[in-house]
Amino acid sequence: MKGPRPAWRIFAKPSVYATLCLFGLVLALVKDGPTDLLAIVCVGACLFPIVMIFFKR
Amino acid sequence: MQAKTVKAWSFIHKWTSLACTVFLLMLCLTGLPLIFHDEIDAALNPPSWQPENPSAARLSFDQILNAALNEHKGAVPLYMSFDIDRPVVNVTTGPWVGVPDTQMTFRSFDATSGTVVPAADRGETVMEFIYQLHVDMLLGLPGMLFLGFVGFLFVLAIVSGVVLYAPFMKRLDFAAVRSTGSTRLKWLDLHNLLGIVTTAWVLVVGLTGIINTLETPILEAWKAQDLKDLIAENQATAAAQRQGLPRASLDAAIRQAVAAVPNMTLQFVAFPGSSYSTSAHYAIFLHGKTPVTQHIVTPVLVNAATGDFVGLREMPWYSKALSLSRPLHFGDYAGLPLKLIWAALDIVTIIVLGSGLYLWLCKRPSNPRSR
Repeated sequence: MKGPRPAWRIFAKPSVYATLCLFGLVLALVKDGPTDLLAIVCVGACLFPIVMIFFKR
Repeated sequence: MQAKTVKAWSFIHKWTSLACTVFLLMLCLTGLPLIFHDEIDAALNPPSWQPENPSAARLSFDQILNAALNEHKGAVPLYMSFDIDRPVVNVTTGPWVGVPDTQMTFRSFDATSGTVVPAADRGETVMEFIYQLHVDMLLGLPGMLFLGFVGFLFVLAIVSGVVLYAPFMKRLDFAAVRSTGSTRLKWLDLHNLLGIVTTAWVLVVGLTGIINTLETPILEAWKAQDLKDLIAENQATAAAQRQGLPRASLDAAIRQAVAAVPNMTLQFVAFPGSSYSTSAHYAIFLHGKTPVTQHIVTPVLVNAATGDFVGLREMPWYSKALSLSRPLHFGDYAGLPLKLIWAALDIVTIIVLGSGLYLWLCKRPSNPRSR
């Protein structure tokens, strides 16, 4: 257990995942060739920390 | 954040979540097979159909329409749509205009011969039931609007959950799951983690779901505001059509519409009296050719009695929002990989809902610091 963290630090990583997800959703909507894969990776990025939980175990 | 503020947000989060959990679980569970609707259909009904005259020229739209009306004597045409990957024209008819969806008949026709294409029937009834449950709980418009309200509560629950994330995670690293404490503590951490990383996705799916539930009022508003003048002008034509006067050529109408908007392609036709048209016009819907504009439709109205070109009626912003919200809600716009991610996120949402319910049902710890 650590000392209290400021709000910006608490939300820093969640904001990155949220931004990637939204970027991916919009990119997939305006897809054009190879950007499709990038879009899917961006949307799927938010699953990464969930998958890591199982690896940590 | 002050204790009083945290308490207030906790109250909002708890009750908005509890009020909509059962319905959201139903939506997530029914949404899961709907994501793979195309794949399930294709697996249950392997494509065995071939056009009768593959090398022949396609029949005209009028010929197909006549074939459909011969198939259903006394029926009125409501919609005509077109398969992209095979020469098939789909015609929806009904015993009268304004008939509810359940009484409409959908038939596909071979565009090379005018014969009926056998419908994909295996599993169709089950998928239709799941779809209706997801869309309106089999209750029609009241069911749709109720689910829209559930969506509103869901958005409140998400926003309050994000606000509460900060005080709960003040002393914890991102993605920390305390497995040394109680089971409840572990599930609280998992609930927080799964909830916060999927926030953007659930917000998009939730908000677009709310927009989708407003489909009927949106269409009614479009007709009442943007087509009001046409409806008023054409009462006489509508009355003449009800008396069975001949219809203007559909082919000529479509040709005029496509020529009027050269950078768009034909998507579907709404016949007079259907939800997407006035009582006197063919509403010929065209959509763009680029990835973004293919979700934006523009109707061209042609007088169905005289064949006169009436004009292009741009859909208002709220109709465009509805068009864009459909792919963003269903996740079916970037192939199977996106559908798999959609399914994974749907399952994560089910876990968040289930864990939320579990956290509420479990006895709260007496010492709030242990949270």
